[in-house]
Amino acid sequence: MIQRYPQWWIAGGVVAAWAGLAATTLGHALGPVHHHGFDPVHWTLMCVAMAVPPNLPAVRHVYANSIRVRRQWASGVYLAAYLAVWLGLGGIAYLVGLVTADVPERTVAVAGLGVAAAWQVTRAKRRAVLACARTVPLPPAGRRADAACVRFGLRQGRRCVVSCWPLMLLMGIVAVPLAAMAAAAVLMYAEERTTAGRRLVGSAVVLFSAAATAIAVFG
Amino acid sequence: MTSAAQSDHYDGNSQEDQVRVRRDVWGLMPGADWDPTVLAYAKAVQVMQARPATDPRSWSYQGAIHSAFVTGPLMNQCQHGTWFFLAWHRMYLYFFERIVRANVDAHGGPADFALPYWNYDQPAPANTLPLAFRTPALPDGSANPLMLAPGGRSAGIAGGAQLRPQDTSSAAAMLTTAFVGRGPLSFGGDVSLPVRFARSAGQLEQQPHNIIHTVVGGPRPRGATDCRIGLMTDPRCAALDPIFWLHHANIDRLWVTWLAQGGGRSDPTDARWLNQRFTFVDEHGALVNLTVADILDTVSQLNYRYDDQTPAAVTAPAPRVMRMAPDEELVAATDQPVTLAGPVTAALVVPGSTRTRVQRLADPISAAYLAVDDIEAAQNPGVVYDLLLNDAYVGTFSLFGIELMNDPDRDHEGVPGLRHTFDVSAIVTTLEADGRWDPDELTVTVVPVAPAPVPGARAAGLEELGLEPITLGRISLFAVESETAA
Repeated sequence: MIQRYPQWWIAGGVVAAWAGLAATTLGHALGPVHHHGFDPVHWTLMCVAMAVPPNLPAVRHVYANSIRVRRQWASGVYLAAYLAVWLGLGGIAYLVGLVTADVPERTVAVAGLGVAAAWQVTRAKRRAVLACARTVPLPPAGRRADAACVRFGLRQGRRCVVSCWPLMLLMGIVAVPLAAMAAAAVLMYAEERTTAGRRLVGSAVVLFSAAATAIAVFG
Repeated sequence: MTSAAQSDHYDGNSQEDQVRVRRDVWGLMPGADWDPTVLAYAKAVQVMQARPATDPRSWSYQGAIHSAFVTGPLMNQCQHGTWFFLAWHRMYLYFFERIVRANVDAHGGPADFALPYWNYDQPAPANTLPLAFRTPALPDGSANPLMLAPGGRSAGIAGGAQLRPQDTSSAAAMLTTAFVGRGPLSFGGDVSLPVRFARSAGQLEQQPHNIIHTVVGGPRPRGATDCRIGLMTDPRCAALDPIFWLHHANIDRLWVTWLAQGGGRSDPTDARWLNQRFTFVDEHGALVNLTVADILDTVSQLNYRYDDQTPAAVTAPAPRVMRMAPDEELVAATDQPVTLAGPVTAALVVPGSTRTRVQRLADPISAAYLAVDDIEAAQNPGVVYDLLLNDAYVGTFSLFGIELMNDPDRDHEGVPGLRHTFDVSAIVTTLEADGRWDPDELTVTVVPVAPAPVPGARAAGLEELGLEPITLGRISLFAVESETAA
């Protein structure tokens, strides 16, 4: 089982993160105040739940290209570096949350979706999506091997952040229904990992614009 | 181009009243006297080249269907590094042949016309560029469209130099028994979505296909964005060289002969492969669709066969039965990227934990392959590279298509950074028998092979070529458990 699905523990973490997000969202729904702002726990859960699944093939690449005794270690080092980039983006999300603290949530959501829609058609976005399968050479052992795993994780993390930052940033500071987060996660995965999904990069502009319009009109 | 004739299944038309025979071009035209079939091909190329570029039956449009520097309907459709490589190119050739044949028929050419093939894996002169492709004029005195302007092909090849046996050989491909699988384990490539350049090439695509492209085309100017020099070297120009079609007819023939060998060799039965549909243009300029399942039997479905479909005599040792990934295990690798513009030797680092595994690689229960990963280059340098393990020749690789694989603005499935893999099981066994298999002294050597000189001329040294350096991210040795090891 472990041999066939070496990323089982990572997949378990993703499931746990979604469970955590579900609990958080339920808490919001039941709580007396529904506010926006940056929550580091929520952000971490989001990163694991949404940003890790598209990267599982890269983890598998690290696993398959490491000597047997290093496979899980190398996968972990890679993933830690990858998530570090995302957690770093959390710092920006925190600042954006502070700056927009007095801005109505609806305005933040509309503006965020507008930025996300515009970002979809940039060359940077397209390049980031197309480069999702790019790898770096992994030496077989020693510090060089660890350094290569870190370098690979940082490169993939940076690339993935470039691809998805507007949407993630928005969801990091605005309370979003779990279903919307799940839809965003599916879109992120499809864009990164399927040929059909890559063709949706442009179509998502319509989706984000429609969502922004709906929020602006209906709240 | 009209879509009126587009159909779910292309079932041929009145052209298909007999089974045509594709013949070896050297058999058709062993001397300077023009053979009617080869001459008809040349005249059809003339007609196609005279058509406006907007005509899908024109020479330039047909070339662009494969790949081009421009974009347009049906252009840039070629399939490489995927399990669709062979099927897509069979369809491509089939409709190109129909367009050529329509011209041949219109001009009173041979009634049994079929596209010739070039079987370069033969002794001289068959391993030299066919004479019709280096003769300046047709019998009527007009310019021969089969002969390119100087620089269009590698000068030596254009001048009649012989191809090296290691470049023309299909022995490694013929040894494979599975159509689908990774690298040296498969004949036809690994499972992939239909995309232009994935990283799942089968053995036949790696060699001789990719290698012949590069050695025939030769070096191209750095950053060239036109198709005047080294056409076969760049996928965006390759199909504009008339020899491209004879090369691919030979690759198509090798698919037929591989199946004829038996021994469990068969086409995939996976519906994702069989039902994949591709669109081309027929001799009327109409769009036509075919699925892979429509083209698997050349005789009953496409009405052609080859004059030589004799199964290749496999003289090399029988390959060890290998399992597919993920049972493969990395056991040694270079510990930093190798950049080269000339010959270079690098050590394979064997970690302590894999030392025993490396020592056991010569055992019959083990198999091994050598992978060259994450190859980076701005473009195909137009030379091929010999790979040696502890000074024993492993194989040759080419960077055909790397311009498109590493282009950050082009869509591709799989991993950017070219990969080549070689089955080295027999080599390890030989090295062990010779006392040259020591985990402390494993080296790999990569040697760029200078293009063949024009016969009688001095061979240019690598330094004179001014090769752009390429980077090999990692060269690694993998161990694969055999079935009997379970």
